Amino acid sequence: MSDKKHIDRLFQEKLKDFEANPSDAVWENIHSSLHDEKRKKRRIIPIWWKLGGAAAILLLMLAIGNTVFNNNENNDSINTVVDTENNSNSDAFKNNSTDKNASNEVDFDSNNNVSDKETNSDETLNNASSSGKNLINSSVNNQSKIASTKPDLSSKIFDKNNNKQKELSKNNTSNTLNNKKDVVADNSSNPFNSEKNSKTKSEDNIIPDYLKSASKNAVASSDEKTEDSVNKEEEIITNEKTIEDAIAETNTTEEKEKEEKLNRWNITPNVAPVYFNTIGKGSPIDNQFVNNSKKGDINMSYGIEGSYAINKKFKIRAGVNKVELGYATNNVISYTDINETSALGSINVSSSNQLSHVNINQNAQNTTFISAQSFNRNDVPEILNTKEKGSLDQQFGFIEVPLEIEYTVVDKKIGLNVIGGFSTFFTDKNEVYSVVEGNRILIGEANNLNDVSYSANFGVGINYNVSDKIKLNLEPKFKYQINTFNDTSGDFQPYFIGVYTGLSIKF
Amino acid sequence: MSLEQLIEQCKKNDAKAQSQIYKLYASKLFSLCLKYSKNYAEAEDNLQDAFVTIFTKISQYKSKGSLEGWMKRITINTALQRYRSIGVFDIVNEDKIEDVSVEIDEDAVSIDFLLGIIQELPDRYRLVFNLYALDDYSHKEIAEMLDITTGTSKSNLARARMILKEKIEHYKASISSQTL
Repeated sequence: MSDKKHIDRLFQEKLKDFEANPSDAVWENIHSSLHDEKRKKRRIIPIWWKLGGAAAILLLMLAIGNTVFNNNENNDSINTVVDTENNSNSDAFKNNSTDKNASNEVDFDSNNNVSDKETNSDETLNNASSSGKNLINSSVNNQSKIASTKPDLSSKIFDKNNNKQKELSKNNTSNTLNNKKDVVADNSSNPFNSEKNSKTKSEDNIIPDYLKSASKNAVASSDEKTEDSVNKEEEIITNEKTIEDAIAETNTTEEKEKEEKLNRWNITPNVAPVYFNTIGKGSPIDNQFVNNSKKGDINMSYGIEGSYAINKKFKIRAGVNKVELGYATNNVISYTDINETSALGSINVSSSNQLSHVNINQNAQNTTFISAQSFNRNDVPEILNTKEKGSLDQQFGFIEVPLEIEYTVVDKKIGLNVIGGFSTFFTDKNEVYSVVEGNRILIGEANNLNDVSYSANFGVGINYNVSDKIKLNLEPKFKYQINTFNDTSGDFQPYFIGVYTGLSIKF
Repeated sequence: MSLEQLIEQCKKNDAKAQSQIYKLYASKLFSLCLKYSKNYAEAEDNLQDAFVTIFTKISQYKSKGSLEGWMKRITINTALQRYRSIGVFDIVNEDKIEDVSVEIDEDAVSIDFLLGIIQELPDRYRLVFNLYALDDYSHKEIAEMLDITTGTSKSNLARARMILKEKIEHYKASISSQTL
């Protein structure tokens, strides 16, 4: 019958061959947490696509706005080229986004299917056991009906059904879940199962709450747990480290992880002297000044830039900068006297007081500007020779929105990187001054300056790591401007060079 | 596919091989989880965490011991980690009791009942009882794993045994009174 036995032995013998099958949901969770990580790694490229798409859409919008805005004026060839590029880009992007929609829909459908199945099997369970769970079951059914009309609710219901599924599968500890209905039918003949059944029901109230919190925490905590238990594992294998060591290790690795994650973001206030000039001869003001000597001003640009490190080598940067550019056309003679105008009658100068690319304001309504180089000094009336030669100064102000990629070449105490990208410029200042003998008069604004323009940027960056958090940057950048002017005289292709200095702060 | 090949495939994060390994060992490891956990849901959670660890760190498995032994250790550690993180082991003030031999009549008590009363034990008693009585860890090892003294480990084990015995006897009494 019964003999006295040590309690440990009783448990050892009884539980020696004890095995139990977990629910299928466990494997699904394991699988998704293992292979979701993989997906995250792959997502690096799609981020590019997304950003590229966003940039393309932005460009497209700006380009459309630009064309509409400048409708009455001549669109030059550059404008059209930009347009077509944008169109093709945005098409690609649209395709991308529709693909995504499609896949979302598929996911959603499968959810629905699953929840339908669950409801069905629940019903079967109910019929078989004919317990007092009808109330709950019918409420589930109701909810799934709602799900068909209100997609928003479906996720909640799916959760509920998930719980049901767990509960259901718990009933089947000795069977696999492939044929749920069969198993449920078996329940009545299987004493082990029915015992479990009642147990599970008694736990009903606890499980759903538990599962909710578990699923919430699962993602966040799984990494940590992984680290922890692996450290533990190593410790046991080697038997060299104490638990305290392992915990300390765990903590440090966690901290390291945090640091790496936190340091992805950078913010860099910067300031730069910028020098504006042009490739090729030409004038933004008028035909007659094409051959005049011209001089780019050195102005200041300042702004703030944020960057996100995609990985150790690549960073995406975006920011806002205020840029002032100045350009002076020298050897310009200006005069206002009517007599002087008549005196010019003899000279064949196409100066009906108009500068073709400047809208003259009231200050200079009666003023005429001519290039001192457009005629031979010896042939002109005395009166012009006595005039001081002045200059026409143009001042442009832009809000610059750069979007750039930074590639790290050297990552040491002193680092080196290469930067490429483009900027969008929104014109916020457009002034033309006449400067004669130090007097500076606002005479109007350029009518050929586009409200929105772009630039292709290229630069080299040198940085000095002051500390883990702070870096000093020195970045000479060349920005080739595109679509800045919609009509210029001669070959006028502007660019500017800036030496951006900044302090970048990691956080 | 041999086990070695499966392990190699798992090292490459191959989903099929992982599924095979899971199928081979899930029920064994799940019974382990059930013993170390308060309830079914916690055991499932524990199993899930353990397998994620196993598959992410399988490259560290050096084929010295058996794969099953390695996986069991990870599973146990995952269970311990859970309680460590919620500070179950901080209890210091308790009266220590001597280890007494607890004997019991062996009768037809079901596995489910035994598992149930293990799960009902206070967390640390349950862990100590499992480690010592069922998984052959020494008091010294347990003391290190749980960050307690060997004295506490012994005392916890004795208390666990007494609680278990009491419950079994109570259960038997209730059954015999029902049958009478």
